[in-house]
Amino acid sequence: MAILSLRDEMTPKERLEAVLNGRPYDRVPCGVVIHNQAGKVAGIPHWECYFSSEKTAQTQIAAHNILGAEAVAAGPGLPGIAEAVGSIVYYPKEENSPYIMEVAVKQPADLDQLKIPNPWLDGRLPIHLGALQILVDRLGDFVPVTSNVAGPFTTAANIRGTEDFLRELYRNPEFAHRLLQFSLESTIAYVKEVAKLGAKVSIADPTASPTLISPKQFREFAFPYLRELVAMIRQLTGSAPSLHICGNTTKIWQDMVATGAGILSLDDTIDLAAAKKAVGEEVTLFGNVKPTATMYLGTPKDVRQDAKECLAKGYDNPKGYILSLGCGLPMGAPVENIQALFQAAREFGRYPLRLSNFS
Amino acid sequence: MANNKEELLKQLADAVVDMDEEKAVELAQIIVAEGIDAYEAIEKGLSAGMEVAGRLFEEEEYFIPELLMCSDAMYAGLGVLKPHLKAKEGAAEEKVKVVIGVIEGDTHDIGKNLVKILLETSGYEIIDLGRDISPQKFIDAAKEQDAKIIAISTLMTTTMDGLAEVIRLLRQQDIREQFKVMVGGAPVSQAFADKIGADSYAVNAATAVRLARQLTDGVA
Repeated sequence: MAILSLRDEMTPKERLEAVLNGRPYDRVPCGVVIHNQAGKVAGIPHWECYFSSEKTAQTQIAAHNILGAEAVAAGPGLPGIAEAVGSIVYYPKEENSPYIMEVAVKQPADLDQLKIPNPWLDGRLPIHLGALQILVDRLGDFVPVTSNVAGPFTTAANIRGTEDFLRELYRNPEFAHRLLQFSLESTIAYVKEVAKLGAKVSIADPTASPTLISPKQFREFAFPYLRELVAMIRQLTGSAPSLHICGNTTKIWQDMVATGAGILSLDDTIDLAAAKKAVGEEVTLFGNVKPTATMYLGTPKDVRQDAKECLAKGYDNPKGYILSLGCGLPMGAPVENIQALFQAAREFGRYPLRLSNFS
Repeated sequence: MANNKEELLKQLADAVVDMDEEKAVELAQIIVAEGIDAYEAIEKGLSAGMEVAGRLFEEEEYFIPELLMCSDAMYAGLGVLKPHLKAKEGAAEEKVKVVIGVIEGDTHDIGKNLVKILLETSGYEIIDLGRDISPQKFIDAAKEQDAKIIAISTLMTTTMDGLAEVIRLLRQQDIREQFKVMVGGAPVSQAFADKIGADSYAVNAATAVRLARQLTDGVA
């Protein structure tokens, strides 16, 4: 009965634009992107999506139409740009994530042989672009269509092998910078085509996490390339991308903001209230319901509780707040938990926002 | 001579902490030439250095690249000293064995490698199964090697259940009490470790060493 009164008054696209531009909106958006569970609903196993634009698009359309996803996405994700320049990715035919099996640069000299990818030919980039094309055509007028790319630091690690790349930061910083520049240019080549299709871009740079590298190395090796990527994305798509970095990013929030990103997507280890205080005047915050403890292992009741806690901290962020997860949605998270999260955004996140809505 | 020896061991430890591979090799060669006991040099030089590196990692002074560079220096020094290890008679204590690996379906092994390095330098014998290892394989290796600890990691939620499966299989085969099971990795938490019945959960590589010591207290 209560649920009937919770009709949305804006499309997901209108809502997101309103939040990002500081205009009034009907309720807090929920930014969860759904892949595996949507595929199940659509009858398409996730491993069939990797090589088919149509199946990727069908899955995303099901995510929106059936599960209520407020954003749809297709893109190279973490390994895709590295794959397009020669790293080999393994695709398990079961409920598990693809991973890099063999890296493109086994010796530093191998880098000289690599070429900036042609996004309509190399790796699976044409598949992502094809899927984005369909999604923009079918849903683009009312749902944000996004392509997710890795930050240059993560791509460099996926081209060279993470441990070896991290060693190069000390052993051969000049090479590391060259590889990073190559990763940046390869990513930009792809982003240019995404922009032409009218889709937006989001960035995740997990290997640049402060769990792995020091803030000092972040500033030297990750930041300059992220800043340039963000600037290009802004110029090409007209929108500042979101930036996700895993782990406790507290020490690099100012740097993340200085990249020019419009939205910071924060890990669930982060206190949203602290982030709001530190950088809320400058960026929209996105997060940070616990992907594992709540979405994967928890119940719908846990989801509601976690969502309320996030809303209570984020709802009054000066630059806006989007309810979402602290990292990617686990493949095994039950559909009921996903639905509970969208429901929580409708039920508790309605305008006018007051703290009493979530307590 | 005594001063010189202490000084050399200290410098060797510093070379590890300073990530200076060449210096570690050079000092190890001097130590061998001076006739200093290789075992002592490993313990008070290389291992002591890695212990400092592990502490700096816990204090967030060092991160993964620094730890990798320290361990490169440590292994380089070890390469020089190892051929000069004398077989100790009688006193040779049996090292506690740890079977370690990344669970089936997952290939993220940086964390596992760091735990391995730090345990190794803390005096454990490590049987590294590598990555993408089936639950039964952990158990077979632990039985075969007479290990005391099984250490399993995963970075992904899709493979977390494999950790529980190891414990389920141990129980099923009625050998749960023979081994201590340690779990770790980004999606893993103390609550998850408790839920699946693991003996301990290590939040990072440095903690893993401390927990291993607790688990094998009286055994080591």
